[in-house]
Amino acid sequence: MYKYIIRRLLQAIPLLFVVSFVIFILMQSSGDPLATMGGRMPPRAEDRERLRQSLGLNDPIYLQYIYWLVGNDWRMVDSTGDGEPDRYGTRRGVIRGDFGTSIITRQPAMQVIGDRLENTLILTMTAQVIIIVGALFIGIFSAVRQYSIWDHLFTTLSFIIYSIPVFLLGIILIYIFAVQFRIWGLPHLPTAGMYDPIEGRSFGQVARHLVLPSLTIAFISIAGYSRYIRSTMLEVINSDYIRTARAKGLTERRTLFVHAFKNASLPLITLIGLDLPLLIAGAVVTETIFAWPGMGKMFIDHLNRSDTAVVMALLMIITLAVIMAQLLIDIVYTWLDPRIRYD
Amino acid sequence: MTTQAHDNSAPVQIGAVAAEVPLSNRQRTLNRFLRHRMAVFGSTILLCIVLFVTIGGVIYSERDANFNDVSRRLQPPSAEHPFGTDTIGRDILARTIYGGQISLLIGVTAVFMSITVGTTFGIVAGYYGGIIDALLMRFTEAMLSIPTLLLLLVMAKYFAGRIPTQELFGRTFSGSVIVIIGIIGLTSWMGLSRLIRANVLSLRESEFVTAARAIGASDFHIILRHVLPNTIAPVIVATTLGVAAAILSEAYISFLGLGVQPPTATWGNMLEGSRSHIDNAPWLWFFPGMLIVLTVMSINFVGDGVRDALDPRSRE
Amino acid sequence: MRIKRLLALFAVLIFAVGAFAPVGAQGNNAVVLYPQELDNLNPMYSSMFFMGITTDLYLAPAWNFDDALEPNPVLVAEVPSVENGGLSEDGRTITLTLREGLTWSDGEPLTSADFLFTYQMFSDPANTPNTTYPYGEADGIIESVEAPDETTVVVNFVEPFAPWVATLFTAGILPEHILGPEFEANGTLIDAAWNRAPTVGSGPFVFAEWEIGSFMRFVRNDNYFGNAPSLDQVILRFIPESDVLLATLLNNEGDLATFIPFSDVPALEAAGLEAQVVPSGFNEQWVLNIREGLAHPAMLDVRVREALALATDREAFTENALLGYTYPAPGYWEGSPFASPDVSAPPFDPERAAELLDEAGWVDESGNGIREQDGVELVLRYVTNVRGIRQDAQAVFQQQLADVGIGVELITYPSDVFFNGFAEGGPVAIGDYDIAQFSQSPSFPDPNTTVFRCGQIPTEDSPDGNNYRGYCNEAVEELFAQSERETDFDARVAIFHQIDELIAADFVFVGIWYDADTWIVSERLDNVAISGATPFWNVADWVAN
Repeated sequence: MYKYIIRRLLQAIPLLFVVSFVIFILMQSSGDPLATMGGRMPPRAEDRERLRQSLGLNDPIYLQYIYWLVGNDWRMVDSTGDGEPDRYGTRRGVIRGDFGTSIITRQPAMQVIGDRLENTLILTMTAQVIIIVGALFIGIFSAVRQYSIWDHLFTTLSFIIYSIPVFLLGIILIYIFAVQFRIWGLPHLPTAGMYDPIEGRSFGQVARHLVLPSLTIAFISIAGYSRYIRSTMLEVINSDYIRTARAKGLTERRTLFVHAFKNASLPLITLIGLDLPLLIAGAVVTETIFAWPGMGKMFIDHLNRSDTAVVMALLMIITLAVIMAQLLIDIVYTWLDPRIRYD
Repeated sequence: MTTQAHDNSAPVQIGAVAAEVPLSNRQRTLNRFLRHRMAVFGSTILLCIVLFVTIGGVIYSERDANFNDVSRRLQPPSAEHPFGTDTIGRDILARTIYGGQISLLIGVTAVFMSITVGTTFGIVAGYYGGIIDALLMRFTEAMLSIPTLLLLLVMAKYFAGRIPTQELFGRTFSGSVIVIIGIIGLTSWMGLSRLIRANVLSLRESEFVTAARAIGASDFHIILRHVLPNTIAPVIVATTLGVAAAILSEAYISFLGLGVQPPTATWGNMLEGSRSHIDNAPWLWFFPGMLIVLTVMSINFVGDGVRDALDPRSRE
Repeated sequence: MRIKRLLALFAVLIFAVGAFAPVGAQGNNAVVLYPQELDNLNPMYSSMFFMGITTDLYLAPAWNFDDALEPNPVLVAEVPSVENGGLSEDGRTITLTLREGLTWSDGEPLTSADFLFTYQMFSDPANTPNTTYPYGEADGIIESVEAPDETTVVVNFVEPFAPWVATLFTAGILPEHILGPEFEANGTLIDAAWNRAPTVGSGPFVFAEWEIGSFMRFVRNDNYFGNAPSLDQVILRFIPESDVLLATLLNNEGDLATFIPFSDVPALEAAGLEAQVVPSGFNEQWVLNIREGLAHPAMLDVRVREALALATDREAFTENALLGYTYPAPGYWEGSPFASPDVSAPPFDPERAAELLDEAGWVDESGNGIREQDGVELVLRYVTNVRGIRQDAQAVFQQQLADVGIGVELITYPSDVFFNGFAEGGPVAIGDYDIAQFSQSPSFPDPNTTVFRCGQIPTEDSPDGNNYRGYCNEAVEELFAQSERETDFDARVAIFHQIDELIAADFVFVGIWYDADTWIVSERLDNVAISGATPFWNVADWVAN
């Protein structure tokens, strides 16, 4: 087992290497962080050239990648942008825990990400809870009442909602529950943000602002989850061993939850486990619409201004989280099902 | 379907057992699909949508879809413009027709690309194993571990504006259409290639492949005649669901400003362009939005039906 | 099972609390909605438009501009002029006399030493500021800055420098007593904590909080040297999506916003919000490429360029798509006194356009609907960046140009690719276009600009340069040089009128629409008088009802 874990971890190293190299090349050769610097007018050419030089953007891409990876404190750099190298670099590189500095905020990339992590988790965790609870309810219900009118209704509805582009759903929800409800004089929800800056951050405020974005994410994902739960439940319910349990005279409820659900939960754990790292990534589209100050919105902001350090750091963290989650699932599997061996 | 029947009969040469099996299999599969009410419903809607964009394309020319007249902007649906007009007075009906052609084209070609890459990777990795397998699978895992939407965005940004406008079959395609097809195709093949590899791994040791190898068939021949046809089921399911996913992906990329660029219409960028008018011109988003929802939904219904039909375990 | 019930309960609880929590009201505060989050609060480290307008809240400049675009003295007692002795006759020396009793928000005095410090920080390359203009040594504009006493600052220019009023000490004065020790210790300000949390400032409000990704809060500065502000707080909220921003305004959750599409203005006005349209110097325009070897050969012919203008109905576009809130700009300086009254926007006259093209030798011989000459088809590359209204304009003008036999290929780039520099292969900078559409302004409210200067044409040998048109006219060049040395306002106006007329005759600029900024102001706020150059110049006077 340990051998397996170590082997997987060792395999992850070249994998991270490949991912980082590909994304670095894509990032460095798409936009230019100095093209507009967020301004309405492009900066003066003189300033642009000076900043390019001082930020090291004039170096060949492979060299920039090496700096990103191992740092540049072993080499003289031109920190003032006057064309003359004047001091040693200060970057220590990813392998020494330095993910670089954001060109936009001029903060360490890790700090930029750290500032957003909590906000994103509030949103994605809430959404995930709603998804799991909702999907379990719908999935089990439709499995037990297979081909009933409710099964068809739930299935159809979940397919319809699953097919709505999430941004359309979000905007329509805003217009109904914030704008129209207010016009109709009903208690209405806020349009965007995480809490009202004047009211201050409180549980009530955050909860109020959470309703629309978390439901938007949940609606879209419940469909997939509940279909999955329905089919695994059906498989278990129709299995010989549940039939035996029923035949032994166990009550319907008990059969269902103690036996069927327990058996159907293994693949569910896999599904949740695979989704966990993505909770960190946040919901790009939903966060952007609802101006939720999370990771997804940050990714878009920094991608749009070609902020390689932050985009790279975020993608690396998520990739690592995915690898870890997969490993964890493999390990949990051997626990739950002793027949599985990896060595 | 003919190739499939032909290829399925391949084992017969060797085993010479039940020659009737493939046909009855097909029959049973079709019956199972037809009993799936929602799949039938989905197929019907899908057929209607395909007819809408093809017959519509005969009635309206592409010029109608791009003809603008700013003085007739934002007109609600009327006899002259059944779906109303957009922000520069273009006819939304004509645009949903041509936009639909592009959206469906993106869906189908992107998936075709993803299937090609995924199948090739899966089969090569599974059949040859060893170092090739290890390399290909590490690469697949690397691609899998990056969230797809993030990867799509990074790539969309990289390719934006790099591909010139193309003339194909007398129609002009904005370079961004090709970019979108390419990036969706290149970011969606990984799941399929893992699935196929697993299938191929078990097939590799099966009797008929061993037999084919014994009579001296080449690797290429074995893959083409024996391995490929037997992995067709997951490919079909992935194809159907992939088309729906690709159409949605196109809409998301459009939302983030990196999608197919106007004046070439797609349902996704029509929807995106309507967002300032959710309130005052609902026909702007209603028609493209409705078509996306209907298309994605019916494709998913069909996919569900195909999965059940191809799954030998499901017998209702 | 128990866990499931618990989770369900939790979900129900959240939504119950959510739905009945009290509805927020702005009270004695102003909530400003920004579509972008600010990147840095030190004016040295931000190029963002929204950052530029925010400094008036917390960092006093020497002067800002009122709603009539007149300089409004803030830290200085009077804006320097020849009459008050602040500006020397030869235009090479400016003497700023500061007001008495200036203080920072922490009670420390604000003196000429802070001005000197600001100059030193901007001009020190070790700080790597976003721009050194006009302070940097390499810019060759300022010879020296001196502080002979606590309330006097003397600036000596190398040559007379007319654009000083829009560029000198207008971005906010930095606090030496806070940043000085930081600079001493690190040799650079780039990592100073103050950059992101300027808790000591000099504006009517002082920075209080920055909730990353959400909002920024500024509270009343009790030590403000001017009249005490009436509002308790000014809050900047960041809402990236324009339709959600619109919904937020309609929902009375915000008081002010800008960059509102003209098409949204009627809905907002119907909801009781006021729209203030203010000149900002920007004009949406066609930048026509005349660089030989890079542009389509037809572009080098002024008759073809005039035909492009005549063939497109820009008037109807502004009238309909922009609801008549604006009009095609006749010249580069539209919206300021520097625009010549004798320059008018070319009319829509497709017949004349066709005649001009015929005269220039571009005729459709093959009958495919597109003109050609010597086997070269008249197909132009029309580029812009991703923005709905620009892409609408592209489609409309493509159709109108096709009607006179000009083929147009539309290309759209993401903003940071579109505006890339020459070395990075930006399509406009390297000249890979014929018509480029975007919005430009001079260094508003000053008329100076480098985009028509001969020395600014980017080439392989000198990639720096903003003259993407490749325009070089000796007469214009001479007038620009003259205008930089001219310190008399009226004389400068006369020079720019001549420049405007010469450029109009060369058809390298075609105005699509006069791009004034639309500010939406809620009826709750009084005394809001937005200025196109420094919108929040009188934020201390704002009153909330």
